Amino acid sequence: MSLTRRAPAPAASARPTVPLKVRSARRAAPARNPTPKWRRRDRYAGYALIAPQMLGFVAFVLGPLIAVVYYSFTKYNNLTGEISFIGGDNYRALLEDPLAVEVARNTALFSAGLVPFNICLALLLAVLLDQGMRGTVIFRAMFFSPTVVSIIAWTILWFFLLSKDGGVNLLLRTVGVDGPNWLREPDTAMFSVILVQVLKGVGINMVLFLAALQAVPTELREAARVDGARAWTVFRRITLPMISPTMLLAAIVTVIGSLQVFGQILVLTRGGPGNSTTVLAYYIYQQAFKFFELGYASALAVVLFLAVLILTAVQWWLRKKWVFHEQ
Amino acid sequence: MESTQRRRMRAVGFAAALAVTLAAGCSSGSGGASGGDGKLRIAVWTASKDHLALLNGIAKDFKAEHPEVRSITFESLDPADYTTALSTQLASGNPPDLGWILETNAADFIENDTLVDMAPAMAAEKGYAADDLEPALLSQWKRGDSLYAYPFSSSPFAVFYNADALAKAKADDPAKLAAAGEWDWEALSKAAKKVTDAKTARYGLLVHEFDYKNWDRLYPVMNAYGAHPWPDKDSCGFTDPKMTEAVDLFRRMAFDDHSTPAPGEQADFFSGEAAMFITQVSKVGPLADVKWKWDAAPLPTGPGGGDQVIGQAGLGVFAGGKNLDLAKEFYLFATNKENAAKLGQFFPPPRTSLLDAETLSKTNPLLSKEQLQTVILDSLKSGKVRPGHTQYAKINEQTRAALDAVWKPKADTGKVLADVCDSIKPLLGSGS
Repeated sequence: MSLTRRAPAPAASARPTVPLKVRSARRAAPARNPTPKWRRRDRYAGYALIAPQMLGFVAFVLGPLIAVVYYSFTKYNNLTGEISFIGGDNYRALLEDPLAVEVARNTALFSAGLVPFNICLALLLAVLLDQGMRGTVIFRAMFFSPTVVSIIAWTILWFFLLSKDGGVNLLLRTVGVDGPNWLREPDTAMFSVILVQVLKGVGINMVLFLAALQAVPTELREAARVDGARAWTVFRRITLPMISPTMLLAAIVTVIGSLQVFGQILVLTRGGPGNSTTVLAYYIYQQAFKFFELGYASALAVVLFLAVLILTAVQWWLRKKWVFHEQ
Repeated sequence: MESTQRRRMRAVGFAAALAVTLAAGCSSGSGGASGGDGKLRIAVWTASKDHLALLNGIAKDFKAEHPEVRSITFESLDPADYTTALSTQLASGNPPDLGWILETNAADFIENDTLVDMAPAMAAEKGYAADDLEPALLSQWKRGDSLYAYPFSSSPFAVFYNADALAKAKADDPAKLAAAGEWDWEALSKAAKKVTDAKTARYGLLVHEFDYKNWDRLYPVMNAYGAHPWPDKDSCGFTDPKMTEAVDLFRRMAFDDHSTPAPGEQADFFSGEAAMFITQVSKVGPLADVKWKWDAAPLPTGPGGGDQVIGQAGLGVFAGGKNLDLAKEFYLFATNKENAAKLGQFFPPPRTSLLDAETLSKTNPLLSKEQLQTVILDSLKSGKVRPGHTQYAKINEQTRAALDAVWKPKADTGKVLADVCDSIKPLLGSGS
């Protein structure tokens, strides 16, 4: 039933837009192919079905997105609710903000640490789980379970584990190592935040990779082996290219996620020590809700939006260089 | 075919109903701002059952006198993010009618015309006795003759201590030292070290809510050494050698003596993990249930003198509230002499007539008359209110970030404190 209804549209409804004059000349002619009743009914049903999602999207995504761009050109006083248009002053202030460079550096450092760490670990786990060994299901559930745990619960748990006398250091002490104060030292704080985030998010990429690995036709690998290829060569020349579309997807999603990290920073370090873990999303929160600079925070949010857009576009463009096929 | 059609229609109907509900939900959110609904909302940062029972008792009495009041709700916001949560409500155009304000943020709220000037209403109210309010305790909340909040809690910081833990460690008793005029920060640090060395408690001293995040909780040490973060609003006081001395004393306790938690270490006073605890009287309710002997002493003195430090909380009426007249009425009711005395159970009142040990002891069963005299009444006389500033949140955060470098075993205190000044000077200059 549905197949017939997805048939190509009648020629009349698909005709290209014509100049006004020509149209008026044709006006007298009777409509040859009016939209059938069932098609109109289908259209209304379609609109009704997407309405809840669209309303939610407009209210909570599109509306705020447009509002943020507008607010970025204003001075918005949280305490009084007054809004005054100030042109590009917030963007100029951004260029002169001494902390902005540090925040950008921290954000880049976080992403550069998180993305390769996450992808490599996820791939490694997926390859290990793909070996068909006993207990695979248990391990898969184990690595995936942090993904479904609340981010705040996960982070609070790690806050205690990584505190000076926490579980991690107690464990290290049993082997005679005096562990650092993970969250309070500038050298280890960023690493700790990255680690907590990788462990939280690696499961989802692992599952994606596992599905991709299981979809690689066995014949291809066998053919390579028959040709004398070793395991590593098979992995590099056959498996990796075959799962490259999934790797692209995982890379894009992980990069976007890494730029949005906020809850972990709030719970673990509050941007410290110093400003060493103040990343862009956390800085936006600070400016908007701690310093009452909603206009400036909006300008920062626009910059974050553009950064995500550009990075995604770059990855999409680069895919031609390394993605072997598109599913 | 028939059932498919019916299923489809049901799905469409459900989706449409959901959409309508969503749209209605969104519109009612913004449309609910009708004026004067008689439902008073009051933002507070306490979630203590005892505090809320007291506040609700006052609210009940007010409702009995004002039948037009439909409800009075005390909204407990997270103390750690209180001002953030409050400012978000203000920004969204849905402010509470009244709210507690922290002394450090007073300037921001007043300078932005967020609060209503209550001085005329207080002067006009019969039997209110506005002249009963202690002028020294109002300075943070006044601009000229205008008064923007009633400092319902003017609570001195004091040292509450586990007398058993100190005695077992053969440390001198702080209250006795204070009576003899020998209670200074050196004496405190010695006592703290004795406790830690003798292991009668894990730490000798715990500064409430400091945790190396809220540097302003160290103001009692700074003040004792004669240092001030911004002595005259526009200048930075962190480069003052007295500040270096104060910070170094605390560093010595944390990193050499290990007598106060170092960064990343946690402790709880009430469960006996620390022998001395610097906090305010409103925060020591759990002392009623502890099994060990406890006592209280004023803050230690230092080279800068013996002035005490007061933390304040004000009750203000928000100019943007929906029930402005009712809110003003409630403000006058909740802060009149009778209710100020009730509030005195937890929050030392700013009314001169209530500031004697006899009156305070009626509502404050936890502390003895002697304790009330030494840690509250005497301290209020010489007390300096914890410093605030316009753009306080920004100054506070930048100071926190720059100060982080000093909280490690090896640090050049003077250099770090100079960095603090470099960081906050532009903000101090731009303030009022």
